[in-house]
Amino acid sequence: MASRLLKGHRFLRWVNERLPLEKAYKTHMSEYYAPRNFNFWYYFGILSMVVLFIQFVSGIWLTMQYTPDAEHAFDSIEYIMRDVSAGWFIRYMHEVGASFFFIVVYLHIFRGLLYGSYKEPRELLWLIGVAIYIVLMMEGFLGYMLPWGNMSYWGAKVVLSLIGAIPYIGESLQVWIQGDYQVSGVTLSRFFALHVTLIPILLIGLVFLHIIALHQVGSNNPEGIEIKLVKNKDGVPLDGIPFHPYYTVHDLIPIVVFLILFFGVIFYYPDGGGYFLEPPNFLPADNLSTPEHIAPVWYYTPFYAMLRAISFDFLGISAKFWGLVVMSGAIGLVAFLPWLDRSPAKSMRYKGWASRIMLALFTISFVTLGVLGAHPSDWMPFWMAPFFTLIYFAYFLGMPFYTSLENSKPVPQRISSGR
Amino acid sequence: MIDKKVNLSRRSWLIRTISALSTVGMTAWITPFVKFLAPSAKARGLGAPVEVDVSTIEEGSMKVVEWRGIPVYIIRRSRSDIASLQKYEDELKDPNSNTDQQPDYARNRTRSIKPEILVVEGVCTHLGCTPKYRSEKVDGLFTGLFCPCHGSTFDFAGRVYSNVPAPTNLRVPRHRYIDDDKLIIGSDRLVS
Amino acid sequence: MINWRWAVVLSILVSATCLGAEPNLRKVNVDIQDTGAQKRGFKIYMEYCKGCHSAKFMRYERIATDLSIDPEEMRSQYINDSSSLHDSIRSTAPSDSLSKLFGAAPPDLSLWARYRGEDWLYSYLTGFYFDSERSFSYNNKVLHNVNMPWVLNYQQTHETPKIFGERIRDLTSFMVYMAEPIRSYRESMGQYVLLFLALLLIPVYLLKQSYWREISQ
Repeated sequence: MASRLLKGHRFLRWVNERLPLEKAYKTHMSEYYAPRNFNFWYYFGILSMVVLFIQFVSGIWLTMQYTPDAEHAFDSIEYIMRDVSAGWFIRYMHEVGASFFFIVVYLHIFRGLLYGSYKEPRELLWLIGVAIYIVLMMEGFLGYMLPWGNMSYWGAKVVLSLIGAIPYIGESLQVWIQGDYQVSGVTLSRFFALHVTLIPILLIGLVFLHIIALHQVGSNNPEGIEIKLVKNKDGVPLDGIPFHPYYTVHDLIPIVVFLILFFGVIFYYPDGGGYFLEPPNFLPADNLSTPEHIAPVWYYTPFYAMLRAISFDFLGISAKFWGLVVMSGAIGLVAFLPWLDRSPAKSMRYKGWASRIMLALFTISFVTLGVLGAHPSDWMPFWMAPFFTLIYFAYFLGMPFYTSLENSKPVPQRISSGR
Repeated sequence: MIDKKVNLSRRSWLIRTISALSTVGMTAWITPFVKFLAPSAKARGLGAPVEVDVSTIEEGSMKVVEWRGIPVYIIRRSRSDIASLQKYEDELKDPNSNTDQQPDYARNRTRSIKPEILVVEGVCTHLGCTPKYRSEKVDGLFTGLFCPCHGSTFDFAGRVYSNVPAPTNLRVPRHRYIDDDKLIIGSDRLVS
Repeated sequence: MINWRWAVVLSILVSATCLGAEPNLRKVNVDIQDTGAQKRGFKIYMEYCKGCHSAKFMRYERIATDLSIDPEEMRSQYINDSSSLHDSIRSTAPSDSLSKLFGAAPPDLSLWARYRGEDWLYSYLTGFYFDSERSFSYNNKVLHNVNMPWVLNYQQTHETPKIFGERIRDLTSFMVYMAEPIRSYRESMGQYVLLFLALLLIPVYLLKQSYWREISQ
């Protein structure tokens, strides 16, 4: 199709001689062979690209009317919501988009766990993905502070005071990051600068690398079969189909379904039942009065619950610091998955029962921790958070053992007809 | 593996339908982004018509009022000022105000509703500097409106002289009198 | 094989049921399309609330447009200070003198309905009662040891509970409107967007089928 287009267009031909248009099109679209058995779980990669685009554009627009200063930040958000034409729509898009970004990314990561997408040869692809997730969490944290509501303020304060828990350097590091002795307008201004420049640049760069790395090694699939191992005489994988047109038309369906959900929330539940926009955030930041119950936005709550689960000092170091260690360990461990998984199979379809049960337990504990983290710590019996934190860690730290001990099924060479 | 029996005309019909619908959808989606850039309700509030009391302006003097961020000159002309308007008309670029720089009710020799009171935007039509008002009281120098940036000159009705950089007469904003002394700048309709 | 999809859906459902509503509040079920109620509520706000509570994000002009109040009527019937149509609702009394009097500065109420919720507002405003144990001689069921004066004391003690309840419902309606003036527009807009996308889904689905028919199963 590209070559046909190029034949007709003098201008495109002129460009193509100077920029590898046709080559890029072939490598990434018409001659990128994807396994033919993608299922539901393979929608979330493209969907996260869609959200990234929406966040990028709506974010640029919001900066035009937002004022990153403690005196005016809160008012400028309401100004956008009320006085700026269509400002409410752009703002709701960005705000709902943030939550949808994490929904999509969590499902995307789950897909990776389910079908072993992190295993050789996709280790680097996985590491870039983990980096994207960490950068995305930073972006979300910085962005959540910008409305300068009372929850923004206290949420930022709680997270920043975690840095203070690092032994020896913690307190001065915290003051350095805040640029003040307390979270203040100075902090707000620098967080704004990072939220709209450095972090988005990093994010887009990493996403680019993620796609390049994916197209280098090829996509995994629900069977966990390497389609590149069986090729025809032209070098085309027998179980692969060209990404374009088959997967482009295929992906349009989830994109439209996604947009229906996305705009449904924007138009009918823009505050996500108090989880996307928390009610205390409709009060301006007040450094003298904490909201009755502080909870981070839902996408951080699993880690927040783990942080709270550690309530005892250990080795003469405060519980606060161990909480921080556990929390960063929980995120950091994800990066080591490619080397923790010893199973000969990638996909759960061929792994043994131990892997399946552990993944199910892991998922349950992650969701439960998320619910716990959104509620006051005395909302459920105390043992729950530490218990599910243990399960979370057991999934990772036990993996070398249960994956090598369990009996996995032999992985076939070809994708059978069933999808 | 590839089965060739495909209804190609149906497929191209589908592609065309989807392209058309997507174009409609994208246009609808982009609209808020375009509207976002227009003046907000706050800016519109600040750009609302201004009320001025003209009774305090002495003959041969000027009052400057800010409207939509630009200075609006309100000048009370003397009888001789008004008489002078006729004198130099052949030196003017557009004595009859043919260029659309004023509402219809100001398309006359004095370029005003009341002959003695001139309402013009104090923005030089050359590059936007604010012209200086020189009443006849200053001896020897040019009288009228003089732009210090590039020397453009205008008469007491804000009409531009020939052979100066400014291309057109000064703009007359929409305005109306609510009574003898009260002037509304920025609107000429009864309900603002 | 275990269907992993359902495992996730199930765990989300389980967690969703854990999120209960706040107890002990009277339900008000405000109708956001009812501009009549919002208008009556606006009147009450201007007469009884605005003395102390500003609503600095709400412009009179916007109210006039949204609740279809004629600008002239707005000037003569509603605005009771020197504000122009483009201004937002300012409190009559300066807040520092009020905070001396009542022990706390009266908050700006623009966003109060989104902060507390409509049921809280309704329960709070109908929740005043006589309490001989307090020096103020009254108290509130929702906000104990309330600082705010019992402004609608006369109405609550002289009107039937039904009429008074309606009155507070109107005021709540207005405050819900004020917290998000765009809401009724956004909800009416939403149906077209969703309808359009649902329509788009049909050819998109058929196109996918058309291409994927080429791939033998």
